[in-house]
Amino acid sequence: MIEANKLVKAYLGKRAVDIDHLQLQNGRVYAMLGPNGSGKTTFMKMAAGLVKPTSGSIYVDGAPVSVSTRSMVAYMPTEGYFYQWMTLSDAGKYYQDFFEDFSYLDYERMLIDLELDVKMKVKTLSSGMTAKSKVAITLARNAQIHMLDEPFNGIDLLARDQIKNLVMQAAGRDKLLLLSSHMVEEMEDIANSAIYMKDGKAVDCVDLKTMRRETGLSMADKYRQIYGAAHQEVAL
Amino acid sequence: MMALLKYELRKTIFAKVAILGATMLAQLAFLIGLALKNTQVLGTSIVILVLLAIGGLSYAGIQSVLVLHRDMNTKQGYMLYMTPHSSYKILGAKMLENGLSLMLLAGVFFALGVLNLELANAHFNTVKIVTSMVNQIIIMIDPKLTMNVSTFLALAFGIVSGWIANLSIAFLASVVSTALFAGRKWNLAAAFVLFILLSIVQSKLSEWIASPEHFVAMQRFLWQAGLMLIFSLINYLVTATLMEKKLSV
Repeated sequence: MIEANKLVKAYLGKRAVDIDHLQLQNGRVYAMLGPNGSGKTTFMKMAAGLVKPTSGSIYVDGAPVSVSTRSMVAYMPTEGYFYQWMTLSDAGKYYQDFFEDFSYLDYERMLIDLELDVKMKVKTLSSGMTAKSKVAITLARNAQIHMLDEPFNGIDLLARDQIKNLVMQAAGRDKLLLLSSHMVEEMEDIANSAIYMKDGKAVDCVDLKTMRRETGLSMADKYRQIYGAAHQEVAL
Repeated sequence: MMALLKYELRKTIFAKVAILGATMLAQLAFLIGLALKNTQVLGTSIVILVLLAIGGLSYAGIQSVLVLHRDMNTKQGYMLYMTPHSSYKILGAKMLENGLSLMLLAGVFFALGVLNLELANAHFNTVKIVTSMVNQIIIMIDPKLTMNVSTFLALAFGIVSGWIANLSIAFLASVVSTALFAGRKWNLAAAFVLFILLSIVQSKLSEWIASPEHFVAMQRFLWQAGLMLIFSLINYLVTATLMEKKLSV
């Protein structure tokens, strides 16, 4: 479970994240949606312990985010982050050295599924290959919480399907998956909850089935409802 | 901790192997010069060995500061800060790896220096004259100073400890500038200015805590080395605490 209370991250006075209260439950797959600069990445980084909040608190399984919670969270940043001197095999060994929940075998299997070779050098990978290898290494951890920031960025249609399958396999009864993406349609197939971020605030957190039943709105409809109005205002 | 040490060494191993490789080549040239009694080869190799000792130790230290700076300011830093290790361990591994590498490099250069001096002594009588001249110069600088192997070892230990203390200030300056000015282009320049200021403070402090008057040269060098290692420890604790509490990557 991830819980944020009065969580603020400000850069030079501008609030990148300003969440009054947000609770994400285990056993669910959350899609974190919103335009660029809405605070998705900063929120994930705070939950991963990479960014320190300006004020407020954030908890992982009831414990404040700290060194010990890092072992419960498998976070995939949106950027390529492997050391340039590594091969994909080195990257896997690095994770094996640091994370007890990492399975090198699963990683290797996923790389094969994604048509990647462990001997490939990180510096020679295309953006699509980098994106696929990041997903594989993150999902090869049997962590309580997986957070993938823009997992479909730079990936073609077929690879997107492969990644969707991997994500769905990783989802489990007691696990929490949090994915951010601009590709709302792709997320519709995977997620069962959605968090809509706007100007650093979590403006809505909905159960998708309930929303569909009660309002007839899909994830994308709701997205258009929240952000479409803003776009129209700008256009006017 | 061992895994952290392993990857810290991996990040800087290329430069260290290159320094040692070049040193071995220069040493080989020295031995050839000695065997052939070719003073030109001998002189050139000695100059190269001295330059490698100074340059190699300097570069190995500066490189560790640049690696820390890169780990805090590029996306590759996620690899390090995502691991379930505290900033105390992360920085501790960096400083330990760097300190041990510097000691090892200094040890290699010192051993080669002693070996080469002995070999040259055996081949050329003039070396004895040069050695005695060097001793005379040392006495002119400090009449109390009698240079023997143990005093020279203490001096070398003091110099390397001083260099480690300087690097620990550079680590602190780099972390402070990144924590305050992350993402700014002049982040590195701010770190440099802060480094100069902190170095001045440390130098004044070390003058203030002078060794007791009755200490002989070797004891004074060891006192200075101990002081520098204590400064390094204090800088480490301040830097790691700042990283733990304030640093966002």
